[in-house]
Amino acid sequence: MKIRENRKIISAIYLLAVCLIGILLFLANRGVPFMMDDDWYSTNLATGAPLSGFGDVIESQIWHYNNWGGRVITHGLLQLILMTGNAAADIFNTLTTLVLAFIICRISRKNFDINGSPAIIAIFLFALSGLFAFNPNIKMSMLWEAGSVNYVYSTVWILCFLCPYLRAVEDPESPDLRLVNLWMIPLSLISGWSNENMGPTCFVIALTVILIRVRADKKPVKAWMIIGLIGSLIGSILCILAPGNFVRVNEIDKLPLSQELINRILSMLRGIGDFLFPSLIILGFVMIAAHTLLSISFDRTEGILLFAILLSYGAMILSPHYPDRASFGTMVLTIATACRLMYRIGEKDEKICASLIYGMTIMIAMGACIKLCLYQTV
Amino acid sequence: MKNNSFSKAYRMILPILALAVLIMAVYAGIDRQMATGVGYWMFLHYESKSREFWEICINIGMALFVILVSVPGLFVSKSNDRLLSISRFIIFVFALSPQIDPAFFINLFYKASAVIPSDTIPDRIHSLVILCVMILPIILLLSRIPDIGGSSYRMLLMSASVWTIFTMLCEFIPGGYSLWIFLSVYFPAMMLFILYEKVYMLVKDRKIPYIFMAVEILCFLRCAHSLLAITASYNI
Repeated sequence: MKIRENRKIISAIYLLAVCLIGILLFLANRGVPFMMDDDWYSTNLATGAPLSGFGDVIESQIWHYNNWGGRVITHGLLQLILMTGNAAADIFNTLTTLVLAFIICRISRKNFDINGSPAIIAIFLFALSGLFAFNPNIKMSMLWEAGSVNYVYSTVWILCFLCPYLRAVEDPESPDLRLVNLWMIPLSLISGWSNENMGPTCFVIALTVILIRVRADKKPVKAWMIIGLIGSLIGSILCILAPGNFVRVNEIDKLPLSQELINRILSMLRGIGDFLFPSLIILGFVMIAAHTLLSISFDRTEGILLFAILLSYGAMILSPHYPDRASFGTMVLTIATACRLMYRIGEKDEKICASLIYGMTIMIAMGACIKLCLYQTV
Repeated sequence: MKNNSFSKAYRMILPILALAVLIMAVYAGIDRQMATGVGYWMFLHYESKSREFWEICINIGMALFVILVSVPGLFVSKSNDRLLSISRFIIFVFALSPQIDPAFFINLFYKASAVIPSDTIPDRIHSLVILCVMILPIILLLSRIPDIGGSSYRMLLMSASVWTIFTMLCEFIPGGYSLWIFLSVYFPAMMLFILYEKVYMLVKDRKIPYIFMAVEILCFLRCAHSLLAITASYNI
């Protein structure tokens, strides 16, 4: 009885913490108005006039695709959100971030009920606060409207795309999600078309899961798997081979190959040693706790998630720049892998799970709150 | 079998990596000190001595400093893994520095003199968040695990918390950003390292699990990035 009451109290505290972060996030969003690229995307890119309707967005994105870059889906959505105004955009951003934290929990475990313990809310809080605490640039990846749509929104649909594939790896016998053959068509297309590194990552993950299913599980490939594979491939091609990308590449001054190589190696070093370091080190220690102390052997789903982390990080070598905000997708996958391991630790030993999840989550949530407060004071 | 040969190779590689960190730290230290730090300050105030003289002084100072940093590794390790342990500790202390720029360690001397204006408040708060986010949860986690927990580790945990509170106070005291901040990094990093070593001792036989290797190499990459960033060839 006492344990049950304690659990209720702990759950209530974590729920309050989630609400607090939600409020701070909304206030931080209010503190960052539309700026920089937002001003440009608020206009019809082809004519320069302010956006007046859906037709302008279509016209803008056709111009964008031919003259600027392939991220038509994300920038089209950005223009639609910009048309709703600052306050509505801030609400959308806050809700989408909460949805992202939920999907991180969802993809990290098919069934996330740890004997009804408050660990579920704590892991949700961990995922949510990790998005801020580990983020090298909250402002440009989550609060700035163009950054938020490019990273937070697109990561939501990318994780939705990965969700059924990870379910199939975790349990090959699992029944299909409802109407998956239908919604996989647009979802795979927009996931592949989202950005230059996560799009191809989606395709490679889909391909890997299909190969595992055929080779290791000896199971027939399902229709939605093929649909997703083809859709993400088409989306990636449409994104990367957009005529606008070539127009922009030709405008950039080219360095000698040796200098370019050094620059890229240094930017990759900066990516892992700076931008991704906090999330990776936490993942490393959770892995050590799980494997060395609790003898948990890593399964295929964790292998896939680690492979996705490596792919999304490695793909950046192809990019001439590695800005801090571009590490957002990789950071999210790292948090998802850590969440998954925390669930598994919880299944194995609830006591350790409690100290790990509660201890870490409290510290990380505090860090997230401090960082979010900065955007209201600075 | 495969892991065994990897372990053997890794035992040789890690000390080399730690040495590389020390060399980078010394060079970065000179670069930083002569550009903006105590070296430049002394050069201006004691013109009777040459710039080269101060460079040599800083070089010796840095070498002594990094030797000091590596001392705890001697006490916490198993005798047969001492070199590995010292190497790991050096890499940890530099990598887990809460400031992105490990010149943080190098800067303490001139920060104490308060000649150079300190960093902006948001940057320093960001550093503290990284400290809280990275070091304390790990200590919390490891100190609660059976075979590792116990009163001595709870003491370590408490000390780490006290040092962190000290750091937070120092953030808001003019001129307080000096030795305290160094101690507040050094002690949590040392405590983390002791707990990490304890976990490592639970590993059966002498095979080093891949995850340990991955974490340590990640820390080395962090050191490499941060220390290279200070030099003129790789400006951030």
